[in-house]
Amino acid sequence: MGVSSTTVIEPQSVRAALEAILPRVQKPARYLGMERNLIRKPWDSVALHVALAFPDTYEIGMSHQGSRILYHLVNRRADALAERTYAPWPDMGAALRRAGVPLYTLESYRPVADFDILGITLQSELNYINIPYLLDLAGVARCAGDRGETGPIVLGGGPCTANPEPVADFFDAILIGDAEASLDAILDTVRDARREGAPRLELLRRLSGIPGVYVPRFYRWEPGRDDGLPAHETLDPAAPLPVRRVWAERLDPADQPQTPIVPFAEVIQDRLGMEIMRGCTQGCRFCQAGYWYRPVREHDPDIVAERMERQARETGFEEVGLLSLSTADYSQIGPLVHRLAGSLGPRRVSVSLPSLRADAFSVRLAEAVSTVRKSGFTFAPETGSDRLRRVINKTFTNADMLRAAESAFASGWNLIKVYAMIGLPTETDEDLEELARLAEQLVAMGRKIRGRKVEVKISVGCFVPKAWTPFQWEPFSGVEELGRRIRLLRRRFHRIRGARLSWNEPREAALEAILSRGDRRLGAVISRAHDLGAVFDGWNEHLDLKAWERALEERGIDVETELGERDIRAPLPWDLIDAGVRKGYLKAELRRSRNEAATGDCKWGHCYRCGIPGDGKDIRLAAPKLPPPPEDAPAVTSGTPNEHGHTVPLPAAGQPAQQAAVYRKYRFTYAKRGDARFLSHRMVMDALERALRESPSTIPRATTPTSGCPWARRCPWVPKGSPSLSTSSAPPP
Amino acid sequence: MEAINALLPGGLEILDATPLLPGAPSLGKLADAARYRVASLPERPWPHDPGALPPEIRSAVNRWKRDGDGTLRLELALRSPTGSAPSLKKVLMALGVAEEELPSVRIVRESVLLRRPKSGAPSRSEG
Repeated sequence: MGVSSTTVIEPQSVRAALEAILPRVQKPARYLGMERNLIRKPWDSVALHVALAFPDTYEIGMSHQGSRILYHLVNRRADALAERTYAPWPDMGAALRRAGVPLYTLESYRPVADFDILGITLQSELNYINIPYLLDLAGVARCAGDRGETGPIVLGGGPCTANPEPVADFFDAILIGDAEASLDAILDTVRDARREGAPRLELLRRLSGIPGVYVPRFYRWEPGRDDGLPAHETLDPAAPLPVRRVWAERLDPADQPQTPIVPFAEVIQDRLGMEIMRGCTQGCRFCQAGYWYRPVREHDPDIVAERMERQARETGFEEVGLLSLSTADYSQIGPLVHRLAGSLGPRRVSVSLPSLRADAFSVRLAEAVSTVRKSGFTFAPETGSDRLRRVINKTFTNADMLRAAESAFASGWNLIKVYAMIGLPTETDEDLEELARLAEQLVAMGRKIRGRKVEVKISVGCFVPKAWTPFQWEPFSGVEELGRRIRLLRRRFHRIRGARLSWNEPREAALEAILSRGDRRLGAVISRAHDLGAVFDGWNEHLDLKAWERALEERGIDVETELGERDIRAPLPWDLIDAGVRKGYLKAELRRSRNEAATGDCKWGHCYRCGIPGDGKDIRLAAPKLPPPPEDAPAVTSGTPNEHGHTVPLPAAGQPAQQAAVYRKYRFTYAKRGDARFLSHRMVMDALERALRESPSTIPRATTPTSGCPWARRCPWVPKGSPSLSTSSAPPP
Repeated sequence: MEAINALLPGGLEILDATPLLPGAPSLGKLADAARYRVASLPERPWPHDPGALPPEIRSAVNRWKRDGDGTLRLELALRSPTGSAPSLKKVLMALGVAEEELPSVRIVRESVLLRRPKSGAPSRSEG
């Protein structure tokens, strides 16, 4: 049931209603826009209003780098504003409905239906169920064809647009590719059309003329024609077929947010993230991002370093993340890491390097930035079998990984995390046995070097065939078969002391597989599943497969066919997209996988004619602007811990030694009033710590109060939303 | 202080910062009592005294005063010689407030009282 869009609801009415709603819902701070650096422009000061919706919780959405970029790209324009909204947790969704309050934005509490554009990020197939949920709450018709002349243009974007068909019916338009390439043209078009009072259909025609814009209502998918093969056809002469993906030729630093939003509510990745590279040409045959985001484009390392140093100072974050699909493949990663370790380490700001490779170089990189904390070292070999790794075009071996693990253990890590998949094409039980043997070898090596405290965690996900990969024609292994393989692994790991196995739910993966390769018919299934109660599929506590099973059955979808092998000659639902990578290349890669043949990384010169034009010239490597780290450089902050346990940097040759910092304990008395009363004790402690770190007048290190500190345990209870006028707290020593 | 407060979310404010001597006891050891102001629920005034409370809860009530407008001013001990002291939630539920009603009760925690270190129990400071 939706919220009526016919009633005019003012932002102040929404805000007033929240006073009664928020004390009764979980984590109310996520519904208030309690953040620093968020942008609030006067509504009437701009011609174009964009609501950016993320179809998952605030905690997840605020960790999404793409959304930060979009927010910046819109708000930097003088004629437009962007505000944010996230999928409210079901308790909040129900409370909004009961109170007759529509979905609103965090910046202004204005109903989403008031905006000119409602942009929804398609980050994961398991978020699809929340699209009708968001539209209902906003009071916007679910199907694009049912929308009238007023109300926002519902615009989609994000990596799932590699196959937009399952959600096509929900969207007026979908941007296929990088926002940097076409977003301004879209905003100009909507602004002008609204100013002229152009009918919605005319606006959509204009949008379909913009490179990369797919207007689903101008296309039809025929699942079975006279010749027995499905096909797309266009219904409007303005609609191009195929729709070409667009990408930014260069990564412009001006397209990155200058001042990031600092949340006070809890988020999943509570760190300052910065993209260093887009695209990856390692050519892993299961990886959609690896094909979708080609070509490789790198950011200038000097600008990245300068910006991270400044933003770390300005925000008080204690961790910065260098973001890319394969961080160790960034051509300037060594000099950049060396620079950041030197500048951020003394401020106790750690550098995280997600997506490292399983090799010794990655270990050295991680070591250079791990002086602040040494959490687990993560490898993603995908499988324990060298043979299967050749099938998927991962070019390293178990022996390489053991050497890397040896370096990691020798450098002080006690925990190795391994990400693997089951259900990959050609996988056998012997491949699973090799994963178990690899875990045994890792544990044995770790114990030899570090003793019994070593831990190896193996996390197993289920392979899901994705559009625009060589494995897009491969079958999903099936829920029962994957369950059998997991049971086999569990029995085997039961005998390995020091190794822990965790796994993903195969039924959840099956749902993802259906949604990944589905066609237009799935829009009605998603809608029906939501009507039957499905919401937040990505969260185990909410995954309602019975609703999905019923919806699929009611709409006549044959699940076995959807999950099975695809005919390599037949048209595919996502053929209406031209991703840049040729279908013929993907077929060739599929054949090579069966021969276990390696395809090299084209980034270093050899072009394999994947279809991205330019014969390799599209690849934009960063200029080597930073000095390389000296071969014999000591660890950047190596030295002797002082009496407080803080490491004092070693002096450079000929330089006097630095005086050790002096640390004092303070007791703070604080008051929590107004919206701050919705902050949990932990959030208050985080906010205080961040402010202390950021303030130039204070010491660079504020110790982290943890939930285990005595004061946190003794904090007297008040109900959620109750103010505290005078409360003492103090960071522990 | 102003510079730090400018970096905090609206409504969160540092009022004071006191340097501590080395070896000062932790805050957890000093927290002694908390003072609350609890608005009454519609047509359900708070009692004039805590006599109706069960003895184990009543023993934690240091102060109980009902204002003219029905607001209850309450001081609750954070420690109990017999173990953990009852929370305000327990007090309210003992007064007949159902758990689902708790979010409707308007409560302000006005202060947390600290014991003065090494000076005996009776002497206290307000934090």
